[in-house]
Amino acid sequence: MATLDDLLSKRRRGALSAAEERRLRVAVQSSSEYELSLLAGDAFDRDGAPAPGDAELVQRIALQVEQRWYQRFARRGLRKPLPLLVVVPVFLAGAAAASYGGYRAVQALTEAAALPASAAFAHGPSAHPASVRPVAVPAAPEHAAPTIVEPVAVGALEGRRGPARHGPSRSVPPRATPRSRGDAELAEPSAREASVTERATVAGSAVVSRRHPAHGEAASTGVHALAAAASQIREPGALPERTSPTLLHAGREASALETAREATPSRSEPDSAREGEAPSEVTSVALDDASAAALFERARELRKRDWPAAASLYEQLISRHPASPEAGISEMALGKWSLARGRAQEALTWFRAHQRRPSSALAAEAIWGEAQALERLGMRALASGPWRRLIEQYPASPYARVARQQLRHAE
Amino acid sequence: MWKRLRPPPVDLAVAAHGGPDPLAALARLARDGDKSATNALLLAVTPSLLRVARQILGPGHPEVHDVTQEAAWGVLTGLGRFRGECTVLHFGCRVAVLVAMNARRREISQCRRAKKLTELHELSADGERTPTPEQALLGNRSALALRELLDSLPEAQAEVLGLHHVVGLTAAEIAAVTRAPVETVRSRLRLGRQALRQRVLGDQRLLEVVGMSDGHTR
Repeated sequence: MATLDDLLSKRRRGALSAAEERRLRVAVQSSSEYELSLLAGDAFDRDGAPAPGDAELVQRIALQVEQRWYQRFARRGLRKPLPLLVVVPVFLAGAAAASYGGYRAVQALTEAAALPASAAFAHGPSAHPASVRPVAVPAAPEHAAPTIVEPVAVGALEGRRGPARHGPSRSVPPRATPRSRGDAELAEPSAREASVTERATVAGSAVVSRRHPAHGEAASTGVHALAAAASQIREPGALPERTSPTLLHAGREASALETAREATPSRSEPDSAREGEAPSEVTSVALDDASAAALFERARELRKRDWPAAASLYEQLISRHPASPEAGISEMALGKWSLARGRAQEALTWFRAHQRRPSSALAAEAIWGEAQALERLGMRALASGPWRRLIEQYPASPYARVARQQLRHAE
Repeated sequence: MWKRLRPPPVDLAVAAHGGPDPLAALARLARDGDKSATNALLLAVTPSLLRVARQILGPGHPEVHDVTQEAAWGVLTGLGRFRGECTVLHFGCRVAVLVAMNARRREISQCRRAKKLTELHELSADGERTPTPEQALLGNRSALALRELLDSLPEAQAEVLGLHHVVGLTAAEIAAVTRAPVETVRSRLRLGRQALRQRVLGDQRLLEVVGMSDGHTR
């Protein structure tokens, strides 16, 4: 047995039997909730009733969606060979890299197995980057650097591998700076730290942070300051995404700021993230040279999110390209929008402006809009003018039928 | 220009009788990129989408055209996921309901941001027909209350309410469209009706007309 909700739906389709109709009538008379539902359904049916010009509107929508749909199909067709072109080289490169890594690992294991235990200990991981592990560091001399780990990192820092062998003796601790080991032993700690810092900047201050906490702190501070400075400069959307490597090399805020400021373009690009806002001066500047079609397209996109901003763009379009077909459509859009917002006087201006165009496919709609705007303004006598024009100029259109009804009603 | 197929005459009443879906074959062809089928499908479905957009947004709403277009696009892109559990037309109506509800919610959030809520109410009221007879007034006020409910209820509940009250689908049809159990749909409908009543209770003008001030039933 159908529920009352289902009966309400069937009633709207005109599919109720006599018994069901009686049952629904009793329910509606006894429950105001169902009465509200029934009346709301009727109101929705009235609101959704076909309006004049619906056939053209449906054709237009179907055409627009079809075009978009086939563009998508075309793009998909173009994209088909692209994955093959990308995937095959990536797969080959990945396989080669994996083979090389596996070869290095197997080699390291073989060598480790061939060496005696003590020799293997002194061997140090720097000889085999694939098997990097922490090395036990003996008691450091008084002037030694605070912590020295991972000679491989130093090798990477200097762009070359560390010494192949430190020899079997453990008396010589592995140094962080194999190239300048002797220099480091002779130099004062401060000088050595400075040299470490200088070299570390080659690979970035993050490495310094791992090796020397004091220097790392200084370097991280520099990086944070750089980031802060860059974000301040990037704020207007001006700093390029890729910061110049020299910024990180320097480690000095002042020079970084100067470099970043030099890199800052004088005019910012339009920010897509702020599309929802009203058009700013920047947007206006960027749209100065835009064609009517581009302005129209942008307004069409914008009206989905922000109608007032889109309306402003339509007005710009009309003032800059008054003779373009897009300007005519913009006038109609502004007229309809103004009418929907209750600004009948404004709507009247737009609809009349559209009718002054030499030719337009929307002329009937413009006359229709003028008549509606005049009706809203309470000028029924004046509204009879556009109603009559509709009948005379477009006698076969759906507008004419409604216009005749309106005139009969007025009389 | 490709050959244009004549779309089969179809409406909700036909689709509801449980017969074979007249648009199913067109939908399959359109999904595979057949141009004439796509055109025919769009011409068959778009009037219903337009109707739903008008019903949810209000007939004078400036976004009706855009919402219908988005819904038609949603139907085409959703054909790949459509498994034929309901008719193509009901599927399209569901897409239109969701797109229109999203448009309303987006508009409300923007108006709230811009503190222009009063303008939104003016816009919604402006889309209504002039309420001269008492029944039309009552219906329009109920419809307005329902539209506001669609903006404020949880999405699943609002969807069911919209599909039933606005589009006019039965509980079984909604269950097929949303892939939810029929009992869940009925439960959501009941909750939605209660929420509608609560909303109406706050409308003194409507209360005077309906005479609901003394309780649930009269």
